[in-house]
Order: sequence, then C-alpha cells, then structure tokens
Amino acid sequence: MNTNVAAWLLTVSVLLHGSGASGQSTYQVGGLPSLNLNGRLTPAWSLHFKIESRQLFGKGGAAMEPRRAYEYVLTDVSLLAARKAGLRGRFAGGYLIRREAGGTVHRFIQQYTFVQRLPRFRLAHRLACDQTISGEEKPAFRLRYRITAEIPLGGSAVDPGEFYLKVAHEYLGSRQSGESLLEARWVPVLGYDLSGAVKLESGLDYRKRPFPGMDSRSSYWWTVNLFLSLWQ
Amino acid sequence: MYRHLLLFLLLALPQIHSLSAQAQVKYEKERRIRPNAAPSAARSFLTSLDVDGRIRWYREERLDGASIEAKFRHAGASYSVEFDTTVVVEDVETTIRREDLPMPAGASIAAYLHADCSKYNIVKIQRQYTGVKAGSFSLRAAAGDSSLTIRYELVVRCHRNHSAELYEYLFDHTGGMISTSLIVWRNSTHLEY
Repeated sequence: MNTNVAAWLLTVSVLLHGSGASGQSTYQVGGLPSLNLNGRLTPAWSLHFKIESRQLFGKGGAAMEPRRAYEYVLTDVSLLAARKAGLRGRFAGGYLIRREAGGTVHRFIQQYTFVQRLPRFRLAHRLACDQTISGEEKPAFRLRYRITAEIPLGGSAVDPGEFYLKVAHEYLGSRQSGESLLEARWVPVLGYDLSGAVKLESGLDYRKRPFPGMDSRSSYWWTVNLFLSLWQ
Repeated sequence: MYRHLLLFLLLALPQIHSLSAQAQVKYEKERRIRPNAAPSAARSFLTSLDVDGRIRWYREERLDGASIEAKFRHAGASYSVEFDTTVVVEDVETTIRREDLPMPAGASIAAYLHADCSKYNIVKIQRQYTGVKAGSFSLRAAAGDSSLTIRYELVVRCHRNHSAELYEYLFDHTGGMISTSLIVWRNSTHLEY
C-alpha cells in the first residue's frame, strides 16, 4: 500500500510542478467522458470502438478573464482493428471521425501496444502515430508515446470487485504547416473492475501544450471512462 | 447515429453479462489483508522462519475453497507460504534460477518442454515444498530435507502453431510432468486504448 501512496504522491507532485508555470499561460477546465467497447473476433483479431465527448466548463489565464460557462466542444468516434503480436503485444489501426463546431475532422491511426506483467503491477507502453485531415486546416501528423501503470489496490493483481489506480504519462509530438509542437499529458484515475469484462474509471486528464513552455495552455479534463469487453 | 449506438448497447449488454458468468468458471481472486487479519498460527509459523524482508499477507479465494498466503523475500529469493483454511501449510514456494535445477530433473524438464513446444522461454521457476511441518521446517535446510516432497513449477512462454501462449507446468523431483495449465491473461483493454 505504501508503494501505491508513493505513486499517487509522485503523480500529484508532477502535476503541481507541471501546472506551476505562469507567463502568458491559459487554462481550460472541462469534462471528457468516454465509452469503450472491445470485442474479440478471433484469438488474434479484435475490434475496439470508442466514443468520447469533450465539454468545456470554464477557461481563463493571464491575458483573459476567467469565464465559467458550459460549452460543447467536440465528439470523437473511432474504430480500430487490432491483431495480437506475440504474447504481450498488439498492432492496431483504424479511423476516427471528429464532429466539432468548425466542421468534421478525419484521422487515421496506427499503434503498437505492449503490456508487461510485473510482480506487483502492470505496465503498458503505447507507440502511436496518426494523420489528420479536415476541410478547414492543413494535414497534421502526430507521433506519441504513452506509458501506463495499473496498480492494484486490493492484491497483487486487479480482480473483479476491486479498485485500482491507473497512472498514464504521454508525450505527443505534432507537425502541421511546417510547425512542430510537443504536448505532455498526465492522467491519474481511480478505476473499479466490476466483472472482468466491465471497468469504470474516473480521474484527471491533465494536458500541457506546448511542453515545456511558459506561454502554454493547460487543460484539466475530468474523465469518466467505461470499458466493456464483448466476446472476450 | 446516437440512436443506433444506444440500440447496439442494449443488444450488447446481455452478452457482457453472460460472458462474465462464464468467466467465473475459473475463479481465483487474491486480496491483500492486514497482518493482524492473518490467523495467529500462520503468523507464528512465519515468525519461526526468521525471514529477512517484510511479509505481505493475502487471502486467495478459489472455486474449491480459500487459502491464506504470505509472501516475502529472504536471502535474495522470493518466497510464498500457502495455508489452507485450517492453517495447515499447503506448500512453500521459492523462485530459483534455471541453473539451480538439479540434474537429472533439469535435463528431463528441458527435454519435455523441447518436445511440447516448437520454441520456448522459461519465464519463472519455483521450487515447491509440500509436507511441511511447523516447528521442523527451515528455509535454509529445506532443499536437503528428505522428509519434504519437492516439485518444480515453471511458467513457460510456449510457441505452438505460430502462436505463443503462457503455460504453467508442474514437474516432480525427477522432472516427470505432473500437470500443465494455460495461463489466461487479464483483460488489458483499459491499458492499451
């Protein structure tokens, strides 16, 4: 349990450090609920469907007055086909469509994930790239790496009816119209395994871009994620 | 689009319920417990072993019953002691290296794995002691104690038909195979996407 507390404190300290920069920085606060459906087609192949919506509750910063108002931002719908690669790896590729006020965005995604089972927790690595096109903006290309730790709060592994901590850290580089940008994300959430096939998580999704940088935008999203596994 | 999504969910949810019921066929659940929640006889046995590291206590629930397990590190190796519901020691397990497998058991195990898998990697080896009696058991002298039954439990990444799976093999002290079981990985969707 001490390890779990230490991991939590480390996350909080990183967040406080990351959000401490002032300058001309701005912030936004909102909600980011998502629903994830995963279905196994064969022992090797699976499909992953996700719908995620983003709502803004307020924003502010050094150069603007804090404003509290509800604003719908966007909805992402994605479908990825994945193939098992070895014992612990998986390649996936698919398509995401984003509906937002400015129009529709199309994104093509490719990713490789690798899950390590360590004596007291699990560690997942994700290396992904995507290409985004829309009618309003020039194409954008992104490369991202995420490391995620799943720390059981009830034993040496997460069993149905138990809580867990999930802490993710991600770096996301993007290039659009000749300009490059780096974004960093920290996502600590508390999860509950309802039945092995159903997991519910809630916590913070903190994003800072550009990273590092004083004139940056910090985004604080309250996340609620529901994961349902079908035909597993 | 949202109406179709809602309809899909309504159709899919009963599938999830039935799947979770099927998954409970292989039910095994381990939960960390406080040291003072462990039976006093189990704690006394652990005290008699005079272990180096901190002892972590777990309660394991299976379809065929429950057990109490103590895990710790001692002299650079990982140990686990499992007790049944009457606080009798079921077994003591310790991790060993491949080169610590005695001959001819090591050669026999290697020959079996070579025949069973097209390619294999040994992930973990545990020496298992059964027939442990409180008061006469010593971690240091266990390997040479002829009153104990020694078995070897191996976690092996086994390739067959262009596919890799993780298996648990149990061998006796001569390297004869006793049982094998497929290790089912826990769902990791929430870590991958």
